[in-house]
Amino acid sequence: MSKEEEAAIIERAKAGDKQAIKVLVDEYAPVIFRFSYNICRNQDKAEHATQETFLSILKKLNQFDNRSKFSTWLYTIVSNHCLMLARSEKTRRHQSIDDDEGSVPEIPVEHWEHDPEVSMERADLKEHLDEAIDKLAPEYKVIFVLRDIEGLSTEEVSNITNLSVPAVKSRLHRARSFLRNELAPIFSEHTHD
Amino acid sequence: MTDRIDPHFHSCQQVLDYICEHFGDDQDSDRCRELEKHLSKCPDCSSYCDSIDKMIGLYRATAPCFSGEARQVLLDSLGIEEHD
Repeated sequence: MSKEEEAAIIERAKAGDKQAIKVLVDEYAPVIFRFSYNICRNQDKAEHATQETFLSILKKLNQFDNRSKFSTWLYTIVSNHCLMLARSEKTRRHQSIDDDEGSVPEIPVEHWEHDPEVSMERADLKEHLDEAIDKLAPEYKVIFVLRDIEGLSTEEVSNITNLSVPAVKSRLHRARSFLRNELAPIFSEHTHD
Repeated sequence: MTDRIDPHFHSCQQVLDYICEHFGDDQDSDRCRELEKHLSKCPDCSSYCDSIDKMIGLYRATAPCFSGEARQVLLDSLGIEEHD
């Protein structure tokens, strides 16, 4: 869909055109679901978050003024929704990787001999990955998913999260290193003595 | 990290910061070509990059698709019928 076509669909959706809303659902619900799933790693929760986010989007659609990309606006809404949900789950304890100094700790490097996409049973891999992700604070998960999984630019992530570009970079580096270190024992060629 | 540093970068940490900023971006720039040159000479940075790449691939590969059933539930919740 071109930018012009999208703008026309959004205007029709603002006026309550159900066909236009359905076009937005088919275009963006899979994106919102994928993002939500990658934050909470639970299919039911992600489907629920997609539904809640879409209801919120339709309520706020008149506030969208075309000054930013529509996808950026959607990511802002779904990110806030996922952060709110994660913060409401107070029983979970995330590992702290904050550092006010802004520097990133040196990372011990081990070679990952195995390609995790092909070397183990997918279900087993997924379990390890989900455990690692679960330990990561939602504020870091959002940055990692927006930048690395969704492939947005650092500037876009900065706009969506309302963080400075250096803060995004710092959190991204920490999130990557944290997940990498959590998964390293499974995928490394060798372990430290 | 090793001290195998390309002259354009002062430390492997700078290389990692640069990777952090540009991972997945257009690699067709002088700076990215310098980065590739560094990676070809520095096994530590190369391993780090490779593992991040694999981790992202795994993350993407283990996410399910938005199902037709979930789409229908969403359309129902928005009061939209298939033939609208």
